[in-house]
Amino acid sequence: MSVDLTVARQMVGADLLRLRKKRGMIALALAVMLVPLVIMTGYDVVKHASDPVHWSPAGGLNNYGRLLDLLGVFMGPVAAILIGAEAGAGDLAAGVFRDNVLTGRSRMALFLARIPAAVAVTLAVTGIAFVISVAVTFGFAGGLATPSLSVILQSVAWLALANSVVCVIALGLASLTGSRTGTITALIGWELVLSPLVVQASSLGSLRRGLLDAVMLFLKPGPVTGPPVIPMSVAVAVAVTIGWLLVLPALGAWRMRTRDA
Amino acid sequence: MCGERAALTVTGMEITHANQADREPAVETEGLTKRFGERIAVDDVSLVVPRGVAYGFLGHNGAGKTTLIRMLLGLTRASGGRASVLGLAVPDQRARALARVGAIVEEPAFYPHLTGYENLKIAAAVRGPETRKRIDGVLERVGLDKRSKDRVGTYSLGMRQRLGVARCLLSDPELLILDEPMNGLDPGGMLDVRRMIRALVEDEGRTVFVSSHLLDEVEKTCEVAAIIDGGRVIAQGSIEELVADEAGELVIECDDTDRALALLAGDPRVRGLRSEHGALRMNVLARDQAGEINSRLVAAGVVVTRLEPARRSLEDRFLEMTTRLEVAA
Repeated sequence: MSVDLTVARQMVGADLLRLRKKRGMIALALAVMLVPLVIMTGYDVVKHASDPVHWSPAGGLNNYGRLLDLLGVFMGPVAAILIGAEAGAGDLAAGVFRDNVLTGRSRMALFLARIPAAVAVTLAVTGIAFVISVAVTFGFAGGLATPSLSVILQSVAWLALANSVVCVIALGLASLTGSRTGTITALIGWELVLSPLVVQASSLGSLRRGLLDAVMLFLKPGPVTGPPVIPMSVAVAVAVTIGWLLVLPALGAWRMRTRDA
Repeated sequence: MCGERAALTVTGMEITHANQADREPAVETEGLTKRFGERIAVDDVSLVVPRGVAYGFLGHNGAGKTTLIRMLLGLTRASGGRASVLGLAVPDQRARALARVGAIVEEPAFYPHLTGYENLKIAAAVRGPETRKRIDGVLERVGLDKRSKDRVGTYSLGMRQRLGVARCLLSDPELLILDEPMNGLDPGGMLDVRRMIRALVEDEGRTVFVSSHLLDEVEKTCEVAAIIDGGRVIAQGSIEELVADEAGELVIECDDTDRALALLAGDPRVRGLRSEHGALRMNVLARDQAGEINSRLVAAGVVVTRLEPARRSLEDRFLEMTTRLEVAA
């Protein structure tokens, strides 16, 4: 048992190594979160500096809420998709999948080792962006109210949940399709275009509760600053999240077990 | 190296199985068949690969070599027949068998953004906790210790092949299965791989199964070989047996070829007499008749400068056999 645990830990470490050394991907994941953050904040700083009477400071609680939307609903998930897709299909793209299978190690173990590694990298990247967001919130608050420690801690948990779930979904889809590019294109299209539209389509009513974005907006701490929050119970939110977490990764695991090496 | 490990693992109830398995051939197949729809890629192949040898698996591109290897490694299911690796049935006992096997199927693949060392670290993590300690040793073993900190993306094909062998050696395997290990290598790279394979067999007692379409390399590297054509094994045995001249052909060089040709033309012991490139070639009914033919030529005043059995290369035999099959088809 301890040998199995050691192997499992080593396998996760190995996946972590291959992901974190993918410097281009890490840089891109950071950029997709930080560039909009810098642009948004810079724009607000310039506006406030040019006309402080009409434009509030770039920091404070309200802007913190907007930055959370950016990191947990829009660009953070994009970064998580990049990382999850690499974790799910990177070995296939490099041709290493067959060599891993040739070790005799179970394919399920190979699949499962990817998840904590990908989530760890996603959390690290999200963490950097979040620290900068908090610094902006407090640094440019001026006289505005700032988030309490409780809200900040809730935000940490919420961001970790939101981006980890998207990362695992991307990993599952990439394992299912075997294609990083296809996964990234499909999920970014969904995350940035389709899902925000569907969330706002009131004609769909309670069906929208099945959307991950709807769940994440519902669970988001702090002020409501972005898309509308669809009311739902916590139980529904948890069930929908678990559903998303299970379906695509399960399909990815199945495909990995049956894929011709 | 692998012998030491085998001795250490013989404990308790495992003794019977381990010893029994150790007596089995490295690879054994019986009637192994693989169909892709109507097409038969591997047809009723029965092989026995003895332990402790370099075994060549020869065939044209598309002859079925890689498909057979993929079945042996449990990467694809056989349509019929059975196979065992190190005495363990595959695919039923695949995981146990593969734990003692190192394999490269087609080209060895690596993460190009990682160094050679990091790639082996990843491979070692999948293999098990003891494997990591062997990384430095295997890198040195294949001569890549000085380049281990370089990204694999900067490696030549020969270096990647050697890194592939290093990855195979991580688990201290009893059997290495190398699919076309000399593909794309320059002569120096081929020599390196050939030497490495010989050392793995002679110095370390491992079995190396090498598939190749490079007949000359197999002849130089392996003691035993099988020839596969159109999915069927058409010959197998030691290289000596495979290249042996069944017809008893002799080659004679002398100072007067025309006269020797005239002298031997009516000799009842000689068949298929002909002059080729300044030498006489003929088939004799028995090898000991070579001396009688030599005596006859010398007695007639012909100075014989060379007389030897014609030795055909494995390539000649391979082409002869496969051509014969094509004609028959």
